[in-house]
Amino acid sequence: MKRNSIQEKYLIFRIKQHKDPDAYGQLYDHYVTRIYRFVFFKVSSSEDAEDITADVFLKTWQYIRNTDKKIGNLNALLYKMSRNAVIDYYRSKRRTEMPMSDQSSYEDIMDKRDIEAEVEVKMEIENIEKYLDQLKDEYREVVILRHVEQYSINEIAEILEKSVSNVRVILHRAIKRLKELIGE
Amino acid sequence: MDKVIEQLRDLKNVKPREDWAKRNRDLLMSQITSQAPEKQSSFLNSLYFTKMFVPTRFLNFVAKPIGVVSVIIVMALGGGAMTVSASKDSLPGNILYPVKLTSERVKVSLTVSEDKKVQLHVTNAEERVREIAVILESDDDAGAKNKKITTASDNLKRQMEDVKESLDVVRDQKVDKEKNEQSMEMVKEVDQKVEVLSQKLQVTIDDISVDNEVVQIIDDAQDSVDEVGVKTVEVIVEKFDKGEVDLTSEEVFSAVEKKMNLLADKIADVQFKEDEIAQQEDVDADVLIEEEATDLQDTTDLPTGQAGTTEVIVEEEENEELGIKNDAEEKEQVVIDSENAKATLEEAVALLNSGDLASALEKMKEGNDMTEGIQVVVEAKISEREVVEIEEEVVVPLIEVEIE
Repeated sequence: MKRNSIQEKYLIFRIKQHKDPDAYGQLYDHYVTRIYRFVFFKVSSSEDAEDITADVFLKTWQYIRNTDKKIGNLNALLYKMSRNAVIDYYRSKRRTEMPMSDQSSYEDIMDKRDIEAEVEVKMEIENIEKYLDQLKDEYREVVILRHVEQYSINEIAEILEKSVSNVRVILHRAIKRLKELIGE
Repeated sequence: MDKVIEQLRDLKNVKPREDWAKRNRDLLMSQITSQAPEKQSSFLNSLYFTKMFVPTRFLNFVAKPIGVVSVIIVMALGGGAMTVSASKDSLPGNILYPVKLTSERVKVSLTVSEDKKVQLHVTNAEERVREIAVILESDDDAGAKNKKITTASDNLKRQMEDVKESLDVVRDQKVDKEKNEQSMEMVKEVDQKVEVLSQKLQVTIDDISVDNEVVQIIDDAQDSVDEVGVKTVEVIVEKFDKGEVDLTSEEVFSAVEKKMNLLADKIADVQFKEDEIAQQEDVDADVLIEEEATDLQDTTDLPTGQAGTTEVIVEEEENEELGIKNDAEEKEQVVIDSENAKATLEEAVALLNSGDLASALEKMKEGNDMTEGIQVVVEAKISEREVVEIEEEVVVPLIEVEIE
Protein backbone atom coordinates (compact mmCIF):
# COMPACT_ATOMS: atom_id res chain seq x y z
CA MET A 1 0.00 0.00 0.00
CA LYS A 2 1.40 3.40 -0.95
CA ARG A 3 1.45 6.16 1.63
CA ASN A 4 -1.51 8.47 1.30
CA SER A 5 -2.87 6.34 -1.54
CA ILE A 6 -6.50 5.94 -2.55
CA GLN A 7 -6.46 2.53 -0.83
CA GLU A 8 -5.27 4.10 2.42
CA LYS A 9 -7.89 6.84 2.17
CA TYR A 10 -10.54 4.21 1.63
CA LEU A 11 -9.40 2.33 4.74
CA ILE A 12 -9.54 5.53 6.79
CA PHE A 13 -13.03 6.13 5.46
CA ARG A 14 -14.01 2.60 6.57
CA ILE A 15 -12.66 3.31 10.05
CA LYS A 16 -14.26 6.68 10.36
CA GLN A 17 -17.66 5.74 9.09
CA HIS A 18 -18.03 2.04 9.79
CA LYS A 19 -15.59 1.64 12.71
CA ASP A 20 -14.16 -1.20 10.69
CA PRO A 21 -11.47 -3.00 12.78
CA ASP A 22 -10.24 -4.98 9.77
CA ALA A 23 -9.46 -1.79 7.91
CA TYR A 24 -7.47 -0.58 10.90
CA GLY A 25 -5.77 -3.98 11.07
CA GLN A 26 -4.49 -3.47 7.53
CA LEU A 27 -3.13 -0.05 8.40
CA TYR A 28 -1.55 -1.50 11.55
CA ASP A 29 0.24 -4.18 9.50
CA HIS A 30 1.51 -1.54 7.13
CA TYR A 31 2.84 0.92 9.72
CA VAL A 32 3.67 -1.06 12.87
CA THR A 33 7.32 -1.79 12.03
CA ARG A 34 8.33 1.74 11.15
CA ILE A 35 6.47 3.27 14.10
CA TYR A 36 8.05 0.75 16.46
CA ARG A 37 11.47 1.54 15.00
CA PHE A 38 10.94 5.30 15.31
CA VAL A 39 9.91 4.91 18.96
CA PHE A 40 12.67 2.42 19.70
CA PHE A 41 15.38 4.87 18.62
CA LYS A 42 13.88 7.44 20.95
CA VAL A 43 13.59 5.25 24.04
CA SER A 44 16.12 2.50 23.24
CA SER A 45 14.31 -0.16 25.15
CA SER A 46 12.37 -2.74 23.19
CA GLU A 47 9.85 -3.32 26.00
CA ASP A 48 9.08 0.37 26.33
CA ALA A 49 9.02 0.78 22.55
CA GLU A 50 6.47 -2.04 22.32
CA ASP A 51 4.27 -0.49 25.01
CA ILE A 52 4.42 2.95 23.45
CA THR A 53 3.77 1.61 19.94
CA ALA A 54 0.71 -0.29 21.18
CA ASP A 55 -0.51 2.89 22.85
CA VAL A 56 0.07 4.94 19.69
CA PHE A 57 -2.09 2.64 17.58
CA LEU A 58 -4.90 2.60 20.12
CA LYS A 59 -4.86 6.39 20.51
CA THR A 60 -4.73 6.89 16.74
CA TRP A 61 -7.80 4.69 16.34
CA GLN A 62 -9.65 6.77 18.92
CA TYR A 63 -8.48 9.99 17.27
CA ILE A 64 -9.62 8.93 13.81
CA ARG A 65 -12.98 7.84 15.20
CA ASN A 66 -13.64 10.98 17.18
CA THR A 67 -12.14 13.81 15.18
CA ASP A 68 -14.15 15.90 12.79
CA LYS A 69 -11.00 16.89 10.95
CA LYS A 70 -10.05 15.32 7.66
CA ILE A 71 -7.17 12.84 7.95
CA GLY A 72 -5.04 14.04 5.07
CA ASN A 73 -1.86 12.18 5.90
CA LEU A 74 -2.09 9.14 8.18
CA ASN A 75 1.66 8.60 8.05
CA ALA A 76 2.36 12.07 9.47
CA LEU A 77 -0.43 11.62 12.02
CA LEU A 78 1.09 8.37 13.32
CA TYR A 79 4.52 9.96 13.69
CA LYS A 80 3.03 12.94 15.51
CA MET A 81 1.18 10.57 17.85
CA SER A 82 4.44 8.67 18.43
CA ARG A 83 6.38 11.82 19.25
CA ASN A 84 3.72 12.89 21.73
CA ALA A 85 3.62 9.42 23.28
CA VAL A 86 7.39 9.45 23.78
CA ILE A 87 7.18 12.89 25.41
CA ASP A 88 4.47 11.55 27.75
CA TYR A 89 6.62 8.53 28.47
CA TYR A 90 9.61 10.63 29.54
CA ARG A 91 7.37 12.98 31.45
CA SER A 92 5.75 10.17 33.42
CA LYS A 93 8.90 8.20 34.06
CA ARG A 94 11.11 11.26 34.41
CA ARG A 95 13.75 9.22 32.74
CA THR A 96 16.35 11.06 30.75
CA GLU A 97 18.92 8.35 30.32
CA MET A 98 18.44 5.01 28.75
CA PRO A 99 20.10 1.89 30.03
CA MET A 100 22.33 1.50 27.02
CA SER A 101 25.51 1.59 29.05
CA ASP A 102 24.39 -1.67 30.61
CA GLN A 103 25.86 -3.98 28.04
CA SER A 104 24.07 -7.10 29.27
CA SER A 105 20.63 -5.55 29.15
CA TYR A 106 21.45 -4.12 25.76
CA GLU A 107 22.39 -7.53 24.44
CA ASP A 108 19.27 -8.92 25.99
CA ILE A 109 17.23 -6.44 24.00
CA MET A 110 19.10 -7.26 20.83
CA ASP A 111 18.50 -10.98 21.41
CA LYS A 112 14.80 -10.39 21.80
CA ARG A 113 14.74 -8.85 18.37
CA ASP A 114 15.46 -12.23 16.85
CA ILE A 115 18.49 -11.15 14.88
CA GLU A 116 21.02 -13.61 16.26
CA ALA A 117 21.45 -15.00 12.81
CA GLU A 118 22.67 -11.70 11.47
CA VAL A 119 25.70 -11.29 13.65
CA GLU A 120 27.56 -8.99 11.34
CA VAL A 121 24.61 -6.70 10.82
CA LYS A 122 23.98 -6.73 14.55
CA MET A 123 27.50 -5.52 15.28
CA GLU A 124 27.09 -2.64 12.86
CA ILE A 125 23.67 -1.76 14.20
CA GLU A 126 25.01 -1.82 17.74
CA ASN A 127 27.84 0.43 16.70
CA ILE A 128 25.84 3.10 14.87
CA GLU A 129 23.06 3.02 17.47
CA LYS A 130 25.49 4.04 20.18
CA TYR A 131 26.51 7.09 18.18
CA LEU A 132 22.93 7.89 17.23
CA ASP A 133 22.11 7.87 20.90
CA GLN A 134 24.62 10.66 21.45
CA LEU A 135 22.89 12.92 18.93
CA LYS A 136 20.36 15.55 19.97
CA ASP A 137 16.81 14.25 19.69
CA GLU A 138 16.08 16.76 16.92
CA TYR A 139 19.06 15.50 14.90
CA ARG A 140 18.35 11.83 15.60
CA GLU A 141 14.76 11.87 14.37
CA VAL A 142 15.66 13.61 11.11
CA VAL A 143 18.49 11.14 10.46
CA ILE A 144 16.21 8.17 11.17
CA LEU A 145 13.41 9.47 8.98
CA ARG A 146 15.73 10.31 6.11
CA HIS A 147 18.29 7.51 6.07
CA VAL A 148 16.52 4.62 7.78
CA GLU A 149 12.93 5.16 6.68
CA GLN A 150 14.09 6.96 3.52
CA TYR A 151 11.43 9.63 3.52
CA SER A 152 11.93 12.62 1.27
CA ILE A 153 12.82 15.99 2.79
CA ASN A 154 9.30 17.23 2.00
CA GLU A 155 7.71 14.30 3.80
CA ILE A 156 9.95 14.80 6.84
CA ALA A 157 9.06 18.48 6.89
CA GLU A 158 5.39 17.50 6.94
CA ILE A 159 5.88 14.91 9.68
CA LEU A 160 7.91 17.20 11.92
CA GLU A 161 5.93 20.33 11.03
CA LYS A 162 9.09 22.19 10.05
CA SER A 163 10.03 24.01 6.85
CA VAL A 164 11.85 22.12 4.10
CA SER A 165 14.89 24.39 4.47
CA ASN A 166 14.95 23.83 8.20
CA VAL A 167 14.89 20.06 7.79
CA ARG A 168 17.68 20.27 5.24
CA VAL A 169 19.90 22.28 7.56
CA ILE A 170 19.18 19.99 10.54
CA LEU A 171 19.95 16.92 8.45
CA HIS A 172 23.19 18.38 7.16
CA ARG A 173 24.32 19.27 10.69
CA ALA A 174 23.17 15.92 12.09
CA ILE A 175 25.17 13.89 9.58
CA LYS A 176 28.19 16.08 10.16
CA ARG A 177 27.88 15.62 13.93
CA LEU A 178 27.41 11.87 13.53
CA LYS A 179 30.55 11.64 11.44
CA GLU A 180 32.44 13.67 14.03
CA LEU A 181 31.30 11.26 16.76
CA ILE A 182 32.33 8.26 14.71
CA GLY A 183 35.59 10.01 13.91
CA GLU A 184 35.24 9.62 10.18
CA MET B 1 28.07 4.11 -0.62
CA ASP B 2 28.99 6.28 2.37
CA LYS B 3 29.81 4.03 5.32
CA VAL B 4 27.66 5.97 7.81
CA ILE B 5 24.67 6.10 5.48
CA GLU B 6 25.10 2.40 4.78
CA GLN B 7 25.14 1.62 8.50
CA LEU B 8 22.08 3.79 9.01
CA ARG B 9 20.25 1.89 6.28
CA ASP B 10 21.11 -1.34 8.09
CA LEU B 11 19.06 -0.06 11.00
CA LYS B 12 16.05 -1.08 8.92
CA ASN B 13 16.79 -4.51 10.35
CA VAL B 14 15.52 -3.25 13.69
CA LYS B 15 12.04 -4.71 13.81
CA PRO B 16 9.56 -5.53 16.53
CA ARG B 17 9.39 -9.16 17.61
CA GLU B 18 7.03 -10.97 15.29
CA ASP B 19 5.13 -12.64 18.12
CA TRP B 20 4.67 -9.28 19.86
CA ALA B 21 3.43 -7.60 16.66
CA LYS B 22 0.90 -10.39 16.20
CA ARG B 23 -0.19 -10.48 19.86
CA ASN B 24 -0.54 -6.72 19.94
CA ARG B 25 -2.59 -6.78 16.76
CA ASP B 26 -5.00 -9.28 18.32
CA LEU B 27 -5.22 -7.20 21.49
CA LEU B 28 -5.79 -4.02 19.51
CA MET B 29 -8.51 -5.69 17.45
CA SER B 30 -10.30 -6.89 20.56
CA GLN B 31 -10.05 -3.44 22.16
CA ILE B 32 -11.42 -1.63 19.15
CA THR B 33 -14.06 -4.21 18.33
CA SER B 34 -15.51 -3.83 21.82
CA GLN B 35 -16.21 -0.20 21.02
CA ALA B 36 -19.64 -0.70 19.46
CA PRO B 37 -20.18 0.90 16.06
CA GLU B 38 -22.63 3.72 15.89
CA LYS B 39 -25.24 3.80 13.19
CA GLN B 40 -24.62 6.43 10.56
CA SER B 41 -27.10 7.66 8.06
CA SER B 42 -26.27 6.98 4.42
CA PHE B 43 -26.35 10.72 3.78
CA LEU B 44 -23.61 11.28 6.39
CA ASN B 45 -21.70 8.36 4.93
CA SER B 46 -21.61 9.88 1.48
CA LEU B 47 -20.76 13.27 2.94
CA TYR B 48 -17.76 11.82 4.79
CA PHE B 49 -16.80 9.79 1.75
CA THR B 50 -16.71 12.93 -0.38
CA LYS B 51 -14.83 14.83 2.33
CA MET B 52 -12.21 12.12 2.55
CA PHE B 53 -11.46 11.95 -1.15
CA VAL B 54 -11.98 15.49 -2.35
CA PRO B 55 -9.83 18.48 -1.26
CA THR B 56 -11.44 20.85 1.24
CA ARG B 57 -11.07 23.89 -1.01
CA PHE B 58 -12.83 22.02 -3.77
CA LEU B 59 -15.63 21.14 -1.37
CA ASN B 60 -16.01 24.79 -0.39
CA PHE B 61 -16.32 25.66 -3.99
CA VAL B 62 -18.90 22.98 -4.64
CA ALA B 63 -20.90 24.35 -1.74
CA LYS B 64 -21.41 27.49 -3.71
CA PRO B 65 -24.66 27.08 -5.64
CA ILE B 66 -23.25 28.41 -8.86
CA GLY B 67 -20.62 25.69 -9.08
CA VAL B 68 -22.62 22.68 -7.96
CA VAL B 69 -24.26 21.56 -11.17
CA SER B 70 -21.36 22.07 -13.55
CA VAL B 71 -18.71 20.50 -11.32
CA ILE B 72 -20.76 17.41 -10.52
CA ILE B 73 -21.49 16.87 -14.19
CA VAL B 74 -17.84 17.32 -15.07
CA MET B 75 -16.74 14.89 -12.38
CA ALA B 76 -19.43 12.38 -13.35
CA LEU B 77 -18.48 12.45 -16.99
CA GLY B 78 -14.79 12.21 -16.24
CA GLY B 79 -13.61 15.47 -17.73
CA GLY B 80 -13.79 17.27 -21.04
CA ALA B 81 -16.75 19.43 -20.16
CA MET B 82 -16.82 23.19 -20.22
CA THR B 83 -15.81 23.94 -16.64
CA VAL B 84 -12.65 21.89 -16.85
CA SER B 85 -11.54 23.49 -20.08
CA ALA B 86 -12.43 26.91 -18.66
CA SER B 87 -10.30 26.13 -15.62
CA LYS B 88 -7.29 25.25 -17.80
CA ASP B 89 -5.66 28.66 -17.58
CA SER B 90 -6.72 29.38 -14.01
CA LEU B 91 -4.14 30.34 -11.41
CA PRO B 92 -3.94 29.89 -7.63
CA GLY B 93 -6.51 32.12 -5.96
CA ASN B 94 -8.83 31.77 -8.94
CA ILE B 95 -12.23 30.20 -8.29
CA LEU B 96 -11.66 27.52 -10.95
CA TYR B 97 -8.17 26.57 -9.80
CA PRO B 98 -9.35 23.74 -7.49
CA VAL B 99 -11.35 22.32 -10.42
CA LYS B 100 -8.20 22.31 -12.52
CA LEU B 101 -6.22 20.47 -9.83
CA THR B 102 -9.02 17.99 -9.26
CA SER B 103 -9.40 17.24 -12.94
CA GLU B 104 -5.63 16.62 -13.10
CA ARG B 105 -5.87 14.23 -10.17
CA VAL B 106 -8.85 12.43 -11.68
CA LYS B 107 -6.90 12.00 -14.90
CA VAL B 108 -3.97 10.46 -13.02
CA SER B 109 -6.13 8.17 -10.92
CA LEU B 110 -7.88 6.89 -14.06
CA THR B 111 -4.52 5.97 -15.58
CA VAL B 112 -3.42 2.40 -15.01
CA SER B 113 0.08 2.40 -16.49
CA GLU B 114 2.71 3.69 -14.08
CA ASP B 115 4.75 5.05 -17.00
CA LYS B 116 1.79 7.14 -18.11
CA LYS B 117 1.22 8.31 -14.54
CA VAL B 118 4.78 9.61 -14.34
CA GLN B 119 4.31 11.46 -17.63
CA LEU B 120 1.04 13.00 -16.43
CA HIS B 121 2.64 14.15 -13.17
CA VAL B 122 5.47 15.77 -15.13
CA THR B 123 2.98 17.50 -17.46
CA ASN B 124 1.16 18.82 -14.38
CA ALA B 125 4.48 19.98 -12.93
CA GLU B 126 5.18 21.88 -16.16
CA GLU B 127 1.85 23.60 -15.70
CA ARG B 128 2.81 24.61 -12.11
CA VAL B 129 6.05 26.15 -13.38
CA ARG B 130 4.11 28.06 -16.02
CA GLU B 131 1.75 29.29 -13.30
CA ILE B 132 4.67 30.58 -11.23
CA ALA B 133 6.02 32.54 -14.21
CA VAL B 134 2.58 34.05 -14.98
CA ILE B 135 2.02 35.04 -11.33
CA LEU B 136 5.40 36.76 -11.18
CA GLU B 137 4.57 38.82 -14.25
CA SER B 138 1.13 39.78 -12.93
CA ASP B 139 0.28 43.15 -11.40
CA ASP B 140 -0.68 41.68 -8.02
CA ASP B 141 0.78 43.21 -4.90
CA ALA B 142 3.73 41.48 -3.23
CA GLY B 143 1.62 39.78 -0.52
CA ALA B 144 -0.84 38.25 -2.99
CA LYS B 145 2.00 37.16 -5.26
CA ASN B 146 3.79 35.42 -2.39
CA LYS B 147 0.64 33.58 -1.42
CA LYS B 148 -0.08 32.42 -4.96
CA ILE B 149 3.51 31.40 -5.63
CA THR B 150 3.55 29.44 -2.37
CA THR B 151 0.43 27.54 -3.48
CA ALA B 152 1.83 26.78 -6.94
CA SER B 153 5.23 25.80 -5.48
CA ASP B 154 3.66 23.52 -2.86
CA ASN B 155 1.65 21.82 -5.59
CA LEU B 156 4.78 21.49 -7.70
CA LYS B 157 6.59 19.84 -4.78
CA ARG B 158 3.69 17.43 -4.29
CA GLN B 159 3.78 16.61 -7.99
CA MET B 160 7.50 15.88 -7.71
CA GLU B 161 6.86 13.56 -4.74
CA ASP B 162 4.28 11.72 -6.86
CA VAL B 163 6.80 11.40 -9.71
CA LYS B 164 9.34 9.95 -7.29
CA GLU B 165 6.85 7.44 -5.91
CA SER B 166 5.85 6.37 -9.41
CA LEU B 167 9.51 6.10 -10.43
CA ASP B 168 10.05 3.79 -7.43
CA VAL B 169 7.27 1.58 -8.75
CA VAL B 170 8.78 1.62 -12.24
CA ARG B 171 12.18 0.74 -10.79
CA ASP B 172 10.86 -2.22 -8.79
CA GLN B 173 8.36 -3.63 -11.28
CA LYS B 174 9.18 -7.03 -12.72
CA VAL B 175 8.25 -6.88 -16.39
CA ASP B 176 9.58 -8.24 -19.65
CA LYS B 177 12.52 -6.72 -21.47
CA GLU B 178 10.38 -4.86 -24.00
CA LYS B 179 8.35 -3.17 -21.29
CA ASN B 180 11.56 -2.32 -19.44
CA GLU B 181 12.95 -0.67 -22.55
CA GLN B 182 9.78 1.40 -22.92
CA SER B 183 10.01 2.46 -19.28
CA MET B 184 13.64 3.42 -19.79
CA GLU B 185 12.66 5.71 -22.66
CA MET B 186 10.07 7.30 -20.43
CA VAL B 187 12.60 7.76 -17.60
CA LYS B 188 15.07 9.43 -19.97
CA GLU B 189 12.35 11.73 -21.27
CA VAL B 190 11.37 12.65 -17.70
CA ASP B 191 15.02 13.35 -16.92
CA GLN B 192 15.22 15.82 -19.81
CA LYS B 193 11.93 17.44 -18.90
CA VAL B 194 12.81 17.99 -15.24
CA GLU B 195 16.14 19.44 -16.31
CA VAL B 196 14.28 21.98 -18.43
CA LEU B 197 11.91 22.69 -15.54
CA SER B 198 14.83 23.27 -13.19
CA GLN B 199 16.43 25.65 -15.69
CA LYS B 200 13.16 27.55 -16.08
CA LEU B 201 12.88 27.92 -12.32
CA GLN B 202 16.51 29.10 -12.16
CA VAL B 203 15.77 31.76 -14.80
CA THR B 204 12.75 32.83 -12.75
CA ILE B 205 14.89 33.08 -9.60
CA ASP B 206 17.55 35.10 -11.42
CA ASP B 207 14.88 37.51 -12.73
CA ILE B 208 13.53 38.29 -9.26
CA SER B 209 15.41 41.32 -8.07
CA VAL B 210 14.33 41.95 -4.48
CA ASP B 211 11.95 39.56 -2.79
CA ASN B 212 14.14 36.98 -1.14
CA GLU B 213 11.18 35.19 0.42
CA VAL B 214 9.87 34.35 -3.06
CA VAL B 215 13.36 33.25 -4.10
CA GLN B 216 13.45 30.88 -1.13
CA ILE B 217 10.05 29.38 -2.00
CA ILE B 218 10.97 28.81 -5.64
CA ASP B 219 14.40 27.56 -4.62
CA ASP B 220 12.76 24.86 -2.48
CA ALA B 221 10.58 23.84 -5.41
CA GLN B 222 13.64 23.73 -7.66
CA ASP B 223 15.38 21.42 -5.18
CA SER B 224 12.41 19.03 -5.41
CA VAL B 225 12.66 19.09 -9.20
CA ASP B 226 16.40 18.40 -9.03
CA GLU B 227 15.76 15.48 -6.66
CA VAL B 228 13.55 13.93 -9.34
CA GLY B 229 16.41 14.39 -11.80
CA VAL B 230 18.69 12.40 -9.49
CA LYS B 231 15.96 9.79 -9.02
CA THR B 232 15.70 9.20 -12.77
CA VAL B 233 19.43 8.48 -12.92
CA GLU B 234 19.07 6.17 -9.91
CA VAL B 235 16.44 4.18 -11.80
CA ILE B 236 18.65 4.04 -14.89
CA VAL B 237 21.67 2.84 -12.85
CA GLU B 238 19.69 0.21 -10.98
CA LYS B 239 18.03 -1.20 -14.09
CA PHE B 240 21.45 -1.23 -15.79
CA ASP B 241 23.11 -2.96 -12.81
CA LYS B 242 20.42 -5.64 -12.81
CA GLY B 243 20.86 -6.13 -16.54
CA GLU B 244 17.20 -5.40 -17.18
CA VAL B 245 17.85 -2.92 -19.98
CA ASP B 246 20.11 -2.72 -23.00
CA LEU B 247 22.13 0.36 -22.27
CA THR B 248 25.83 0.88 -22.91
CA SER B 249 27.98 1.67 -19.89
CA GLU B 250 28.96 4.95 -21.64
CA GLU B 251 25.33 6.02 -21.73
CA VAL B 252 24.85 5.31 -18.02
CA PHE B 253 28.17 6.94 -17.12
CA SER B 254 27.33 10.07 -19.02
CA ALA B 255 23.90 10.25 -17.33
CA VAL B 256 25.55 10.18 -13.89
CA GLU B 257 28.30 12.54 -15.01
CA LYS B 258 25.73 15.04 -16.23
CA LYS B 259 24.15 15.15 -12.78
CA MET B 260 27.56 15.57 -11.21
CA ASN B 261 28.27 18.54 -13.48
CA LEU B 262 25.00 20.10 -12.39
CA LEU B 263 26.02 19.66 -8.77
CA ALA B 264 29.43 21.18 -9.51
CA ASP B 265 27.63 24.22 -10.99
CA LYS B 266 25.45 24.43 -7.90
CA ILE B 267 28.48 24.39 -5.59
CA ALA B 268 30.25 27.01 -7.73
CA ASP B 269 27.14 29.19 -7.57
CA VAL B 270 26.99 28.95 -3.78
CA GLN B 271 30.71 29.72 -3.50
CA PHE B 272 30.27 32.74 -5.79
CA LYS B 273 27.50 34.04 -3.55
CA GLU B 274 29.67 33.44 -0.48
CA ASP B 275 32.49 35.46 -2.05
CA GLU B 276 30.10 38.27 -2.93
CA ILE B 277 28.87 38.44 0.67
CA ALA B 278 32.44 38.36 1.96
CA GLN B 279 33.44 41.26 -0.32
CA GLN B 280 30.45 43.33 0.77
CA GLU B 281 31.28 42.60 4.38
CA ASP B 282 34.85 43.79 3.85
CA VAL B 283 33.49 47.08 2.51
CA ASP B 284 31.17 47.31 5.53
CA ALA B 285 34.08 46.64 7.86
CA ASP B 286 36.06 49.54 6.34
CA VAL B 287 33.09 51.86 6.81
CA LEU B 288 32.74 50.64 10.40
CA ILE B 289 36.40 51.36 11.17
CA GLU B 290 36.00 54.89 9.83
CA GLU B 291 32.83 55.40 11.91
CA GLU B 292 34.55 54.06 15.01
CA ALA B 293 37.42 56.48 14.54
CA THR B 294 34.93 59.35 14.34
CA ASP B 295 33.02 58.04 17.42
CA LEU B 296 36.26 57.81 19.36
CA GLN B 297 37.04 61.42 18.50
CA ASP B 298 33.51 62.43 19.64
CA THR B 299 33.88 60.46 22.89
CA THR B 300 37.17 62.09 23.83
CA ASP B 301 35.52 65.49 23.20
CA LEU B 302 32.76 64.74 25.76
CA PRO B 303 32.70 66.80 28.97
CA THR B 304 33.60 64.80 32.13
CA GLY B 305 29.99 64.73 33.43
CA GLN B 306 28.84 62.43 30.59
CA ALA B 307 30.51 59.21 31.74
CA GLY B 308 27.21 57.31 31.42
CA THR B 309 27.12 58.00 27.69
CA THR B 310 30.65 56.62 27.34
CA GLU B 311 29.59 53.39 29.09
CA VAL B 312 26.67 52.98 26.72
CA ILE B 313 28.98 53.45 23.73
CA VAL B 314 31.44 50.89 25.10
CA GLU B 315 28.59 48.40 25.69
CA GLU B 316 27.29 48.94 22.15
CA GLU B 317 30.78 48.34 20.81
CA GLU B 318 31.08 45.12 22.80
CA ASN B 319 27.74 43.86 21.47
CA GLU B 320 28.81 44.76 17.96
CA GLU B 321 32.08 42.89 18.41
CA LEU B 322 30.17 39.83 19.67
CA GLY B 323 27.88 39.99 16.62
CA ILE B 324 30.87 40.28 14.30
CA LYS B 325 32.50 37.30 16.03
CA ASN B 326 29.34 35.17 15.57
CA ASP B 327 29.09 36.26 11.94
CA ALA B 328 32.72 35.36 11.39
CA GLU B 329 32.19 31.93 12.91
CA GLU B 330 29.14 31.32 10.74
CA LYS B 331 31.02 32.53 7.66
CA GLU B 332 33.88 30.21 8.47
CA GLN B 333 31.43 27.32 8.91
CA VAL B 334 29.82 28.01 5.51
CA VAL B 335 33.26 28.04 3.86
CA ILE B 336 34.14 24.72 5.55
CA ASP B 337 30.77 23.24 4.55
CA SER B 338 31.16 24.23 0.92
CA GLU B 339 34.69 22.81 0.85
CA ASN B 340 33.24 19.59 2.30
CA ALA B 341 30.57 19.53 -0.40
CA LYS B 342 33.27 20.00 -3.03
CA ALA B 343 35.34 17.20 -1.52
CA THR B 344 32.29 14.92 -1.46
CA LEU B 345 31.66 15.62 -5.13
CA GLU B 346 35.31 14.83 -5.89
CA GLU B 347 34.89 11.50 -4.06
CA ALA B 348 31.77 10.85 -6.15
CA VAL B 349 33.71 11.54 -9.35
CA ALA B 350 36.50 9.19 -8.19
CA LEU B 351 33.94 6.45 -7.48
CA LEU B 352 32.38 7.00 -10.90
CA ASN B 353 35.79 6.72 -12.56
CA SER B 354 36.42 3.49 -10.67
CA GLY B 355 33.16 2.13 -12.10
CA ASP B 356 31.20 2.01 -8.83
CA LEU B 357 28.05 3.66 -10.16
CA ALA B 358 25.76 3.05 -7.20
CA SER B 359 28.26 4.41 -4.66
CA ALA B 360 29.05 7.39 -6.89
CA LEU B 361 25.38 8.21 -7.03
CA GLU B 362 24.99 7.93 -3.25
CA LYS B 363 28.01 10.16 -2.70
CA MET B 364 26.61 12.67 -5.14
CA LYS B 365 23.27 12.72 -3.30
CA GLU B 366 25.14 13.39 -0.08
CA GLY B 367 26.99 16.28 -1.73
CA ASN B 368 23.69 17.58 -3.06
CA ASP B 369 22.10 17.55 0.40
CA MET B 370 25.11 19.37 1.81
CA THR B 371 24.99 22.02 -0.92
CA GLU B 372 21.28 22.57 -0.39
CA GLY B 373 21.96 23.08 3.34
CA ILE B 374 24.65 25.68 2.59
CA GLN B 375 22.39 27.36 0.05
CA VAL B 376 19.81 27.95 2.78
CA VAL B 377 22.37 29.63 5.04
CA VAL B 378 23.75 31.78 2.21
CA GLU B 379 20.27 32.85 1.03
CA ALA B 380 19.38 33.75 4.63
CA LYS B 381 22.53 35.87 4.81
CA ILE B 382 21.61 37.68 1.57
CA SER B 383 18.11 38.23 2.90
CA GLU B 384 19.48 39.70 6.17
CA ARG B 385 21.66 42.11 4.22
CA GLU B 386 18.72 43.25 2.09
CA VAL B 387 16.65 43.95 5.20
CA VAL B 388 19.51 45.97 6.74
CA GLU B 389 19.98 47.95 3.52
CA ILE B 390 16.25 48.73 3.32
CA GLU B 391 16.24 49.82 6.99
CA GLU B 392 19.24 52.06 6.39
CA GLU B 393 17.52 53.66 3.40
CA VAL B 394 14.55 54.43 5.62
CA VAL B 395 16.65 55.81 8.50
CA VAL B 396 18.87 58.20 6.49
CA PRO B 397 16.14 60.70 5.41
CA LEU B 398 14.85 60.84 9.01
CA ILE B 399 18.26 61.90 10.27
CA GLU B 400 18.46 64.52 7.54
CA VAL B 401 15.12 65.94 8.66
CA GLU B 402 16.33 66.16 12.26
CA ILE B 403 19.47 68.03 11.21
CA GLU B 404 17.41 70.55 9.24
